[in-house]
Amino acid sequence: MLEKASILNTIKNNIVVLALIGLVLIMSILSKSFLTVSNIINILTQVSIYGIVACAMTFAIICGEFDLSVGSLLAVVTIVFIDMAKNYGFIAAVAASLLIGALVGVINGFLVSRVKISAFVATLSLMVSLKGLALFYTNGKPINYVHDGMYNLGNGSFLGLPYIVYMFFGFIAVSHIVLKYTKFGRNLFATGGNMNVAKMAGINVVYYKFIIFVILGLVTSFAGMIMACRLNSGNSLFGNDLAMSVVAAVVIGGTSLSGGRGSAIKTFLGMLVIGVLFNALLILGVQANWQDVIKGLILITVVSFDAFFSGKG
Amino acid sequence: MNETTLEMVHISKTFVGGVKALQDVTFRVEKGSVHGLVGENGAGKSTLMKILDGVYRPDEGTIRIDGEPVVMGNTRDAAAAGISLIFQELNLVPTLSAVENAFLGRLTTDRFGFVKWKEQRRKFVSFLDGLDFALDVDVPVGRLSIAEKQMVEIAKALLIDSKILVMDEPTATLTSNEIDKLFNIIRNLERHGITVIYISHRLEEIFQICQKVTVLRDGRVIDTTDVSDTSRTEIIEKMVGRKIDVEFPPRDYSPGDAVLEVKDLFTPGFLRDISFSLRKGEILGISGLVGSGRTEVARAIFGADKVEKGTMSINGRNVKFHSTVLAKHNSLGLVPEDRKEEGLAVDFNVSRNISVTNLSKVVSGKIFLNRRKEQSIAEHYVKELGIKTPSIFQKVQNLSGGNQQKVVLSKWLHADADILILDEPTRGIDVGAKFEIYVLMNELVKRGKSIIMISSELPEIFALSDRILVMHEGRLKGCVDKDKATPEILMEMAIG
Amino acid sequence: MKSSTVSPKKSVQSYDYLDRIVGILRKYALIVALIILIIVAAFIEPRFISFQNIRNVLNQVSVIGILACGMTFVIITGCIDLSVGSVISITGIVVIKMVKRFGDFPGIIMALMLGALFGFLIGLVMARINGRLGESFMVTYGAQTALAGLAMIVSGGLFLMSDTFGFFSRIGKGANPIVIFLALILICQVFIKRTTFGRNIYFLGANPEAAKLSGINIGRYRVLIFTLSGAIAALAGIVLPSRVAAANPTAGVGYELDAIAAVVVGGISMSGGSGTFLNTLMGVIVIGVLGNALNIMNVTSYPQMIIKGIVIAAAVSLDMWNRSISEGKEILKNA
Repeated sequence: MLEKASILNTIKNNIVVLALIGLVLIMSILSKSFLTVSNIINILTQVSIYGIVACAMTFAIICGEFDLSVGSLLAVVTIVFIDMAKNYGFIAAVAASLLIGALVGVINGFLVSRVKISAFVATLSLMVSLKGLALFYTNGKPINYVHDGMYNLGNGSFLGLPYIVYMFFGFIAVSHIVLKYTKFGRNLFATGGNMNVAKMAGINVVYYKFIIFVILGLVTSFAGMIMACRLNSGNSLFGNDLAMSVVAAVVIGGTSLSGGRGSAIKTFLGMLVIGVLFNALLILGVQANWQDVIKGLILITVVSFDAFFSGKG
Repeated sequence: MNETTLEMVHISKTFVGGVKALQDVTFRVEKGSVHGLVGENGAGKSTLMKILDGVYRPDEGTIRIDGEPVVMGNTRDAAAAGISLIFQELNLVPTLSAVENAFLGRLTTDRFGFVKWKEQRRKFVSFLDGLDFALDVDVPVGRLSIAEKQMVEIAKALLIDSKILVMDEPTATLTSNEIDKLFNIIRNLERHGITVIYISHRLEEIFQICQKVTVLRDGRVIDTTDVSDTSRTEIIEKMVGRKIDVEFPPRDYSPGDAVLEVKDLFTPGFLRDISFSLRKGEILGISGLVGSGRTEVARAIFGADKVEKGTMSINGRNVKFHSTVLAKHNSLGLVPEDRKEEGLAVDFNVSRNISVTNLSKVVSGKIFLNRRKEQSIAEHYVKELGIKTPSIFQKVQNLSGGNQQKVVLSKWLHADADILILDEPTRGIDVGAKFEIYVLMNELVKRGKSIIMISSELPEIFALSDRILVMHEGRLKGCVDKDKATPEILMEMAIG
Repeated sequence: MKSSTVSPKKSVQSYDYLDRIVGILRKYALIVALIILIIVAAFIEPRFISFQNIRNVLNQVSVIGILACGMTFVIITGCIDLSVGSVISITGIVVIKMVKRFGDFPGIIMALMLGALFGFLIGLVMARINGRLGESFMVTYGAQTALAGLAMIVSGGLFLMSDTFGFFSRIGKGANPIVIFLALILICQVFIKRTTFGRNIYFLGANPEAAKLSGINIGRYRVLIFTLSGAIAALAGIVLPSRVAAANPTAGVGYELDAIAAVVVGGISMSGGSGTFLNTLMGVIVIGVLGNALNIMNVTSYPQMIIKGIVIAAAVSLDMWNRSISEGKEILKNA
C-alpha cells in the first residue's frame, strides 16, 4: 500500500511539470507565435495578478480553508480604488482598498473561525454580497480614471519584464519562505493537517483560521489595486473567474484541498499551467464561451483528481 | 520515595443537567511511582484526568502539586505545571514529519523568525536513540506504522520534560515487543523521578507496571491499594461493584459444515493470498496486531474495499466481492470497529438505525414505509437484546457504548444476516456490557449463525473462538484450533 | 456541604427555564423574522398586504421554490449544487427551441431529460470520488461555469422569443407555477418522509460511511440525487421561459443562490441528514416575502444581492448556534 501510494504520489507530484512540458510542446507545434520571448512574457504578465492571489489562497488551502469571495472583493477594490484615486488621491485610495480587504477578511475569518460556518458557505455569502455592492456602487458600469503614475505602476517594465511580474515572483518567494521556514507557516500546516491535534499542542488554531482570511483579504485588495492601475478602470465584472482559476492553479500544483500539504512553488507551477492553457485557448482562437466550458471542465477534472489521490476515492 | 507529588483533594464535579461525574474524589500519587487508574467507562477516570489537564474546572476541591496548590484554568496551565497527557487517539498531524510533530506548537526559531530545523532534528534523533527507538523521522507520519506513530506520540510527551505523565491506554495499538520497550521506558522514567498515571483496561498491565492502583466507580474512589495486596478478580469486583463468577460465559462447541469459503484473496498493495473457511455455528477468531490486515479482510469480504482477485463462496455458491449491497444480500453483516463513525448515524434514533439495513421488511406496498411495523421491530430487538434505552426514539448518541453495539448487532439481525463479522466487538465497552455481548454471541451461534470475530484482546479470543486465524503484515500466518492455542503461539505468529 | 448540594440544583433549574425561552425563540426565529418583516413592510407600504400582492409573492417565488426542492435533496445528503442556475439558462433555451421544432410534449421532455443528464454526469463524478460538501462545491462550481458557456453557445448569445400558444405557453401562466411548486413540495415531502428511498437519503446525509457499511449503495444515491436536482432545475427552466414567453442565455444566473438561501433560511443544516420540505416551503416564503418587500420599497436588484448574501450567512450562523447549543448539552449529559 505504501509503495503504491508513493508511486502515485510521485506521478502526481510530477504531473504538473509533465503537463506543462506537454502543453508547451503541443503549442509550439500548433503555433509559431507561442514559443516566443514576447509571448512568454505575455503569459507571465497575464498570470501575475491572479498569481498573487493564488499565493494567499495557498496559505488558506494549506490551513484547510478556502475562499470563494476573492473575485467579488477584487471587483469591489478596483472600483473603490479608482473612485477614491479620482476624488481623493492615491494614498487615500490605497488606504481605503486595504481597509476594505482587511474588513472582508475579518468578516470571513470571524464566520469561519468563530461561528464555525463552513468556509464554502461563509465565503459564498460574502461573494454574493460583495458582488451586489460592486454592481450597486457602479450601477453595473465600469468607472475609469487615467493617472500616469498609476498607469506606469501597472504597465511599466524593468529589464523587459513588467513590474507586476516581479511582484508575482516576490510574492511566490516570500510565501515559499514563510510556509517552509517560519513558525507561522509550519503552524498553518499543522492546523490544516489535523486541527484537533494542533489545538492540543497549544497552537492557537482559531487565530490561524482567522488570520489567513485577513491575509487573503489584504493580498486580494493589493491585487485589485494593481489591476485597477493596469487597466485604469474599476469594473464589477473583474475577477469573475478569479476564485475558480486560482483554486484550479493551486490544486493543479499539488496542494491538496484536504489541507496540511502544499507549497508556493507548486502554486507557481500550477499558475503557469493555467496561464499557458488560457494563452493556448486564446492563440488557437477558441471562442470565449467555449473557453468557459473548458475552464469549468478543467476545474471538475482537477478537483476529482485531487479527491481521488488524497485517498477519498 | 514516599513523597506525594500530586494531590487532588475532595474533587467534585457536577455537569449541567445534574450528572454527578465526580463526588468527593481524593487521589494522591507518590513521586516517581507508576500509579494505575482503573474503572469502567463512565466511572469518572477521564473527567478526573480532564480536570487535572485543565479542560474542566472542578466545582469543589483543590489540586496540589508538590504541596503547592495550583489552579488549572486551561491546558496551558497544566503543561506549565509539568503535566502531560498521552491520549488513546493518536495526536499527530499525518502530513508532517515525526520531527515536526514532536515539536508541534513549540518550534524554536532564530532571531529572524526562522525555524531551527537542523537543531531540532538533531535533538529529536538523539532523544530517540536514548530511548532505543528507530524510525524514519523525515517522512510524513501518515506513512509510518501505527506502532511507530505511537512511539512518536510518546517521545513527543517525554520531550516536554513533564513531571507527571498521564497515559491513557498507551498499549492498545502496540505489539508485545513494543509494550516491553514501553515498560522499560516507563521504569526508566521512574528512576528519573517522573511520575506516571497509567490508565488501562488491561488489568494484567496494571500488575506488571504499577505500584499502586486506584479504582473508580460511579464517580467515587472505591479503593487505593498497593498492587501487591490485591488481585485481578478483586479489582474487577471493585470496578463493577458486585461479585462476578466468570468473565466469559461457557461455550458449547458444535460447528457444522462450511458456510463461507474465501480463497486466494488479494487486495491492491496489501492483503496477500488469504484463504480460510467458516463453519456454521462457529466463532472464528482473527488475531494479529493492529495494522496486520484484520480489518481489511473484513472490509474486503464485505465488499467495502477494492479486491484485486480471489474467490468467495457462501453455502457452496460463488459470490463476488462487489459491493456492500451484494454482501448484505448474501446474508453477510459487518459490525465495524468504529461504531460511531462507521456503524451508526448517531443523530438518528434507535428505531431508524435498526431498520436501515432492511427497509423492505418495514414497508407496505413496495416503497412506502410503515411506521408501525418499523417500531414493533425496533421494540422487538430492544427487548430481545436487552438494549437499555428510555425508548426506541432515543438518539443512539445518548446510549452507552455497549448499548450502541447492541443496536449495530440488531441492524444485522434485522437484515437476517447469517454470517456476522464483528470487528473489535467489545472495544470501549465496560466489563458488565462485555459479558452481555459475549452471551449474545454464544446465543447467536447456537441459533445457527456464524461469526468472524476480530479482536486484540487475547482472553476474548481464547474464551470465545473455536478456531483462531492469525494475521501478519497482510498475510494469514496460520490457523490454530482452540485446544492447541496458547498466548505464546499466537504472539509468535503475530510477530512473524 | 449542604449549601453545595443545593446550589447546583438551583442553577440547573434557572438554566432550564432560560433555556426554554431561548430554545423557543431559536426554534421559531424564522417565523418571528417573517412576522416582523411583514409588519415593517406593511407599515412602509400598505399595498403590501393586498390579495394581488400575495399572489405576486407566490408567483415570484415559484421558480425559486421549484429549484429549492432539488437543492433540498442535495443539501440533505450533505452536498450542494451550484450548477442549477446554469441548468435553468440552458434548458430554458433548449425548451423553446425544441417546442418550436418538435411540439410541446417532446420539447418539454427533451428539456427535462437534458437537465437530468447534466445532473447525472455531476452525480457520476461525485460518486466516483466519493465527494462530500467541499468536493460538491468545486465540482458544481465548475459545472456552473461550463454550462453557462454552453448556454451562450447554444443560444448564440441571443434572446429567444417563444411564439407558440400550446401547452408549453400555459405552464407559466396564472397560478400554474404556484400549483406546480406546491405539488412538487408535496410529492417531495412524501417521497423523502414515507419511502425507503427517502430514508436511505437521510442516512447517507447523516453518515455516508455508516450508510455504505449498512449495505446502502451510496454511489447510486449520489447519482440519483444530482439527477433529481438537474431534472428539477430543468422543470424550473421550463416554467420560467413559459411565464415570460422568452428565454435568455443568462436567465438562470444567481438562481442557485436564491435556492440555497431558501433552504438554509428554512432551517435545513448544511451538515446533512436533517430537514424536510416543510422547512423549504417556509424558507421559500420568507425569501419571497423579503424580495417582494424590498421590491415594494423600491430597493433595486443590486442592493438585494447584498442583502441576500447577508441572509444566507445569518441563517447558517443561526443553525450553527442552535447546533452548538444542543450538542453542548448532549456532551454535558454524557460526560
